[in-house]
Amino acid sequence: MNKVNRKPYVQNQSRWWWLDNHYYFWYMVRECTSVPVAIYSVVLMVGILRLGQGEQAWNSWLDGMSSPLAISFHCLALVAAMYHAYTWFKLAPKIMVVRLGDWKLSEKSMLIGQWLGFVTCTATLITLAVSSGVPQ
Amino acid sequence: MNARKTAADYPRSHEPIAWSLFGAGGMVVALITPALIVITGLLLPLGLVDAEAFDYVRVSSFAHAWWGKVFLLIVIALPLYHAAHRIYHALHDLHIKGPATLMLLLFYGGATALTCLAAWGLLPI
Repeated sequence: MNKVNRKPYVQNQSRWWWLDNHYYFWYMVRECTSVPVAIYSVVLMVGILRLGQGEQAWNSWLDGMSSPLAISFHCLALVAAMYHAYTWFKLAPKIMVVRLGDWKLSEKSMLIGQWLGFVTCTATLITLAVSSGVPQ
Repeated sequence: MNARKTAADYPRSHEPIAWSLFGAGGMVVALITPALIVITGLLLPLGLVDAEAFDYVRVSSFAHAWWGKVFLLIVIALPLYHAAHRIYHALHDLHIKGPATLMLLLFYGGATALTCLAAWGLLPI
């Protein structure tokens, strides 16, 4: 190791830098949507494990999903996932530019396309889930 | 003069793999997760749909089908990798530090462990 007598410049940044302005704040909110999203994945994973343990275990998982705590959490998780979707769709046209020769897909049409995709996915999933016939 | 460094002199980054999983997960969370939360977290417990929709036999036969397994694994695993990536970087932003290897292992390893657990639970159904 070289021992160089030097005094490197250390920028002192407060841990609360993201409270400085609303852009930073909403950036941090966007990053934090991942916490309820991760917890929801664990909730689903536990559901799978309970399903594999038989009917009684599955029904007790369903009961757990009806607790006030679970319902409040899922309201929060829905808001988080929706905020994520809003920011994600807005960002995607900037990251992925669709070009074909001189023609370029405009940001606005990409945004509309993604929201149409969202509506289609949501409507399809909810319809399939609530229709009493088992899709085979 | 030192020889010019080539690509071989630099360690391969994990970032492209992590970012692909993050990107794919971000799409799943944006397109599919909201509907799933509405179905399992709100419609089901608030009794807004027929209890039959969540009947053991119905859900089992869904998870028994190969496409059901694939769907469930995707909607569980990809959001986990997406979240692991964001939490790993957010902790850095919040100046919460730990040894890099440990943090990588904790978040990406954790997402992998939970994915394996889900797959292990799904296979015998």
